[in-house]
Amino acid sequence: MKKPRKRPGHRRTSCLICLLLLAGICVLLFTLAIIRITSDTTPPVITFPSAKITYTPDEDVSALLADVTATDDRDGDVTESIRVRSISISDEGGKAIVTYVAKDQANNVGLEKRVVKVKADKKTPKDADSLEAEG
Amino acid sequence: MNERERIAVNIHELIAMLRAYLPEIICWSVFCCLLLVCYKEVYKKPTFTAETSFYVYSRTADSDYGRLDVSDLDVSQQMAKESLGVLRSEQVAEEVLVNLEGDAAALQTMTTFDLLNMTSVQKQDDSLEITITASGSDPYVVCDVANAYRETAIRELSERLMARGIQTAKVAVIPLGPSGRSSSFYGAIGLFLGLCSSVGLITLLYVLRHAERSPEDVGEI
Repeated sequence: MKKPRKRPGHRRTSCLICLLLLAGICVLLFTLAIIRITSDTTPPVITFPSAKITYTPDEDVSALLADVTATDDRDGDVTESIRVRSISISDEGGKAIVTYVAKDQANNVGLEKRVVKVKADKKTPKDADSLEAEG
Repeated sequence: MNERERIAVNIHELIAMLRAYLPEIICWSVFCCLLLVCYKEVYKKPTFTAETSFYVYSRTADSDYGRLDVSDLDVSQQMAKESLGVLRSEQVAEEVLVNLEGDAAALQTMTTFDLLNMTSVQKQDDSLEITITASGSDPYVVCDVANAYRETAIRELSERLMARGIQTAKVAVIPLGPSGRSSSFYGAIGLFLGLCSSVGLITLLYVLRHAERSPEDVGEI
């Protein structure tokens, strides 16, 4: 079987098509690079003092937000956007894991967890999903 | 069909032709892949989704608190079906808007039309669980909307359908990342489409070339 060879005219057209496609690929790669460089994909970083705080299950979550701050590499201070996402109280009831979230202008969501002491309460332990996150 | 019009596709010849056009096929596939990735990055805004659900029980006064009898289950199924229609009404949507709390600009300017557009209410067959899903560009807004919708729905259904056993099954939490297809998915689809279209075009070229010639000419080629 003979291998089909391109005629000189076809070869020129083929090279031209390939060059055009390669030019298009370069343009698209450049566009993607620009998009990636300019877009904000880094979520804010949430920080809080190392001192442990005490949480009372029935009290407002604003007490948990008192000393928490969030900073973003582009938007700067985004502390106002911090919310408590969930509170998981351990089975023993002595401690709880509070999950904080903060977001920047580009809607990147940063997450941080903090272990807090739970004030002695006779109530049964609650699951994270059973607690509504309050802003 | 006479002898001259018959087109015999020789698979070896076709493969040889595809190999001859391999650089074009690869370039076109990569081009399509990047084109779809660019489309996704530029035009498709990231969408966040929050989901919440509740159970609709109809408990008769006689039944124990912890148990449902067969008649309760039948009535509950009917009630859950009817509640879907109630929950998609504009009246309920207006109630949700009144109950929405938050400082986000999207919440302040939201209309009932926007609310109904960004939310969906579903019930799986043979289940008493009704799921409310909210989608949008702001993760906080979708979470607030889903929870406000659930609270309003529970209140409205308790009043309208006299359902006495509606319970929250799942509270919506703030989504950590966008939902939906990733860029790599779009890239893979573009690559596949590029490959299929280029192979299809070359096959068509092969067929057209051979259709112009008699079987003897095809043999010579």
